Amino acid sequence: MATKLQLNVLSSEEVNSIYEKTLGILSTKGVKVNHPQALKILDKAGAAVNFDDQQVKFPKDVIEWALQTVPHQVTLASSDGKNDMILPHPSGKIYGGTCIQSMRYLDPDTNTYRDFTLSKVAEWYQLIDALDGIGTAAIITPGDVPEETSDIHGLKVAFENCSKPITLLAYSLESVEYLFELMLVKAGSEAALRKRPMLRISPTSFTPFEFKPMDIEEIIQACRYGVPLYPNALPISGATAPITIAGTVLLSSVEQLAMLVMAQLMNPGHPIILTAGDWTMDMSTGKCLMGSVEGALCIAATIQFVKDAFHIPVSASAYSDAYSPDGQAMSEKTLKGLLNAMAGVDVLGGIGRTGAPNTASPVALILDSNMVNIVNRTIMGVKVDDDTLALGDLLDTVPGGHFMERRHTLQHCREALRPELFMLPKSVEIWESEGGKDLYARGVDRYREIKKELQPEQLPEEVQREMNLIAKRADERLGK
Amino acid sequence: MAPYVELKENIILGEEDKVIEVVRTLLDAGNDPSEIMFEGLIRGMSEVGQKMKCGEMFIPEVLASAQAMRGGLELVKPLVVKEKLLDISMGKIVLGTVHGDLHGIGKNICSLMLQSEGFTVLDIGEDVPTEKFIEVAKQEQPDILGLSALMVNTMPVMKEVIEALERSGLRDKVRVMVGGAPISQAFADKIGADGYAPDAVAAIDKAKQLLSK
Repeated sequence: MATKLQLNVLSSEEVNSIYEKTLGILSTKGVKVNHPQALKILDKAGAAVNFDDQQVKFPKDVIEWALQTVPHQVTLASSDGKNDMILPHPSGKIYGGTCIQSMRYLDPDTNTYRDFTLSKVAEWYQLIDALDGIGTAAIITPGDVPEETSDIHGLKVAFENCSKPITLLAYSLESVEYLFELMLVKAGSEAALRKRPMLRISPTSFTPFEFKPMDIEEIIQACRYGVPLYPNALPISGATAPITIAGTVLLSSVEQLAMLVMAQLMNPGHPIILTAGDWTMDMSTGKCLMGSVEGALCIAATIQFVKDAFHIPVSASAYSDAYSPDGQAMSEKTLKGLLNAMAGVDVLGGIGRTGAPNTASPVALILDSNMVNIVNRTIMGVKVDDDTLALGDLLDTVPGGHFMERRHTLQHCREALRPELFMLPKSVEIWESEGGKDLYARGVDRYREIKKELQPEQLPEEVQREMNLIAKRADERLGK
Repeated sequence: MAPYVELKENIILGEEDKVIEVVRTLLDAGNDPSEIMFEGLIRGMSEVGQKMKCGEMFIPEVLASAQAMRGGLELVKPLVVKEKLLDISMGKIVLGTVHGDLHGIGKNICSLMLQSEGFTVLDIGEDVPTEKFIEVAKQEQPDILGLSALMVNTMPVMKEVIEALERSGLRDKVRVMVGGAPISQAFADKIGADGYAPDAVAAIDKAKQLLSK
């Protein structure tokens, strides 16, 4: 068996140091939880709550209990059972996860930025279903619905067009109940949702050290229905977090662990996938960078810390600052993808995102899915055994001979990864005669091919009808 | 070293104690307070601004310089005639994060940078009700109203503020700038904002550009 490639950004002493300090901060300083009902729940469950300033401290024994209780494996269900996500993957591979919340996309046909519409969102999800490097689809924001219910419509369209597990976050406190109503209708019942949850939902910390009502409400509702959580900390090094990588890792760990403990106190054994995130502030302009090397290292360090200290699945994103899927995008994403995968990430998110504000790209979706496959092959490493060493063949081959007709070659000849977008014509002259297309142009061609075969999900009539009613009710009550 | 050169250099270095010491020495020597202010302190910050624009100085360094300058300014301001003080400010800006949005880090960095560049900034905080923007706009009569949003569902509130300004008859009296991670020029154009900046440094240039029109 091959040894999976592994990267230790932190030494075991460093992991221990961060662990002790994380527990120290949570038990002595605590975090602010802006949700009266949650404060009561946490107080009753053993946290030290100050109701006046909403500050919650978690005693060390409570934290350690939570870390014993949280499951080490999480399964997200696909609607047809063919694309379930088992985290960690049994063979050590990573799953790709698409970018979340995007409102605009780079149109491959016109090369212009356009707002997502319901039909384009549907196409996006169908494209995700067709790409083998992608495990989970995150919700996208359609622009032709009421702004107040765009997350609700985003989830509905996801259920209508994608069989893969969904990654979700609520856009407002008011929409949380409708999102869970949609989940229940899709699953069929509370029991079915709990048994085979088809999505994960993300509460996000309000860095530093605070949690907003909407995010705590997500935790409460997810715990009520057994929907896996993927708590997200989004520190900005130098702005909302220390400028140094280690300081950001520590802050991120505190906030993620706080959400993990809260969930365990509300529902012991609740499935959690932590999320390592970091943006860095460009000290020259104040711009938040998503693709910096320091950010990549910070995320990799956080991933390793979560794995070594908490032993649970972890997500992280491979974003780039490039405004289009160009060479910068591929190099930043591949660097991050490889670092994250070697550090132990289970879900590599951000697939399909560009560096332009809230903008996705269908071609980037295809190129990034390609990248996930390359990363997966890379981290699987080198298998060394009697067969792969080919000692017998080596001893048997004369000087100047070849291996082309060997049985061993025949047996293994189809194992090498052949990333389709990288398989160029045999000569540069042929390539030029076919248009001399670069990677992006080849991605556009591939998009056009796949598009011809896209299909929506076939939902039972009553499920579709119920979902339509939920969305309509949400529009009437929340829309302006 | 010529006195104002020493003052300017210490502003660039962000040495607040040294700036205060030099200003005191200059005042004790009988130098004109308004000359110290304009030729030393403000000119020093202007050089900082130039260095920031060409990438030679970074934001934390600019903020340290601004802090150093303010240290000196506190000594001379009470001694400068009122009329001359009116020339200091580049313009008045009210900043706030729109209703429903608690995020403020980008706005706070913008506030610091705009102040360091000489703007008078009134930061009215986060989750600001639309009515409060209008109330403050009436009271303070700013040159620019800066709106910040970080979330997909709070971006539309920016348009509500602009519409509220129109209903109140204030729209042509104040320029509106918008910013935040999900905001783009296309969005700013769509909602009728006068300006958009992708980061704090760009916000300074845009503010100056809007006020020069």
